[in-house]
Amino acid sequence: MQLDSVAFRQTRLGSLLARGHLSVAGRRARSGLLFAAPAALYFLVFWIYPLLRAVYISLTDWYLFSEPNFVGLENYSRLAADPYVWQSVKATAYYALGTTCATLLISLVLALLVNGTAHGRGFFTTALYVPAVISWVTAATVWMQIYMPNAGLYRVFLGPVMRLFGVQQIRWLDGRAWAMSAVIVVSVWKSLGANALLFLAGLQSIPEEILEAARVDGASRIQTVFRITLPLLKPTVLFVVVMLVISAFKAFTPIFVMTRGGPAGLTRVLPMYVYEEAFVAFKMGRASAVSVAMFLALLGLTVAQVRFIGSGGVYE
Amino acid sequence: MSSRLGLVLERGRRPGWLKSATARAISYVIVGLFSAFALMPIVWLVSLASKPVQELMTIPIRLVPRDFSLFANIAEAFKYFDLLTWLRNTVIVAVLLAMSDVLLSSCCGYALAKFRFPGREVLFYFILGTFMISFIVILVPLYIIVKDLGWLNSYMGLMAPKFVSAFSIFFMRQSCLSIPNEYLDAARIDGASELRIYRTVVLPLLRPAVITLVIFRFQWEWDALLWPMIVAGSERLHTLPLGLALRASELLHATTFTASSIFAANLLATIPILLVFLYLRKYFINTMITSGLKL
Repeated sequence: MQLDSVAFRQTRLGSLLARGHLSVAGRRARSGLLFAAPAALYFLVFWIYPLLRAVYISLTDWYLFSEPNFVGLENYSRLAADPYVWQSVKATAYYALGTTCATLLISLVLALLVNGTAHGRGFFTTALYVPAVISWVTAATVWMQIYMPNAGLYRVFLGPVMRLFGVQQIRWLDGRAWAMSAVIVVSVWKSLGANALLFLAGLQSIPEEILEAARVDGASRIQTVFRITLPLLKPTVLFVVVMLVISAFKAFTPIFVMTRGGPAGLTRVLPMYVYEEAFVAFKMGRASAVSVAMFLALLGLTVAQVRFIGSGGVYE
Repeated sequence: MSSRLGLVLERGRRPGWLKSATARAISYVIVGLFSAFALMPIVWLVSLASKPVQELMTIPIRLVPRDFSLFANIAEAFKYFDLLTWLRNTVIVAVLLAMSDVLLSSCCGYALAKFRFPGREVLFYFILGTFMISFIVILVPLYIIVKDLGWLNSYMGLMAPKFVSAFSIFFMRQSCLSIPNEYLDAARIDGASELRIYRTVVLPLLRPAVITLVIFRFQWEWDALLWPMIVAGSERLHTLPLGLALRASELLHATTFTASSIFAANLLATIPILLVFLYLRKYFINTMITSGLKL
């Protein structure tokens, strides 16, 4: 199409570029662009540009108080061989796996149960959602007390069990055996309500007719749940899982407040590691390399999840 | 959207699929137990905040303190910690960010929902894509950028990563999609400029979304730790979560005289948001449901 033809000028792009009179569509388009521009600009400057810069920094050996030198992929090869990095990766993997599986299971069951009864839905959903409203800092502080070996609240509930085994105290947060599990419990506690709510909304959007049809066909309640309800929930499950994994990889506050990286780095998840490398050891280059690698891994993981869980949907 | 909300929060819309009385009883027990588990730490926080330091570490563990000292603890909290400064900083940042977030995201969401321009789809997926960029990756370069801009240790620096969030744009776009085109067209026929339309037609209709975002933003600021810790060099600029987090480790040595006041301070920080939640429940839950269902 000729760039000065009338036909081109009637396209949206053409009317935008036209020097002279703008068509209605063109004027509209221009307004749209102007409305969208500030936010788009912000993302460009404060998210995309830093991302690119992070990649660049990861290719240098920059120590905050010196000049950066380009060293190529040396940071990456070094961190592939660094045991501390791998310890951090393992910790993050444990944490992500633990929180995702536990939260998924418990909130799904809770949603099914709440949906199964008629009364008290409002109360239960509100009560379950309260932990999500509390700030992480406060939550971590209280749970720190609950976990205190001598006088923490856990003794009230586990006291009998402990007496049975003759155990005086359990070192939750600074003991090698339970530190990670303790942190996972707090995370699960915090995200139960929100995810149960999501599942509940998903459950209630399942058309009544399908469940009716199943009942008419003679399916038992249990069969209905497993064969019909759950498969129909797949999009919600996928969303919840992806969101849980992504936020597990981002977790910083609970670790920082409760364990600072745990006994001997046992709970030092990747965000904690990057923070320490960058702002305690000032090794900006290495920290960037770790974070870029983590970003790519997370990207790949998310794509894999979408492929794995998303396929085989009921309507396909 | 609001009907979805109603479905979730209302009771008895559907009778529920559990038939037998035993099944229902068991489910009430299970859900009840988890609800208690959810609420227990909050109740415990109130209890801890009401105990004097001596009682914090005594066995047997009591729920109701022998020596009720909530108000004494609160007074001590104000004495030992710079609570007012922390609160002031947090509120200032939260208000400014709420304003910028609502403004920028409503404009952008409006554009994405109601206008057609080249690159619209690209922009939408691009913004959605920034969801995937976890904050950790841009932590270092963002710090450098903020430093070069001279924003370190200032309110601007504290606000930098959150002027507008992808979630808000997404949310606003959803809300704008449900504005009937007739209103906009009528205003256009009457000769109103686009800006005028945005101000007088769109914004009022977006009020529930705006409220939701403001609440969301405040909740976020009450919680933000990593970025303020890096940016706020001097104690003058510490925010509430930052101050409380740095003091939390003093708990480990509960013989420290500030242990009770830390809990009191945390309780003080928690009460506002809890109250807002109980009254404006639907706005909190709104964000959750919209993000989950409309993807």
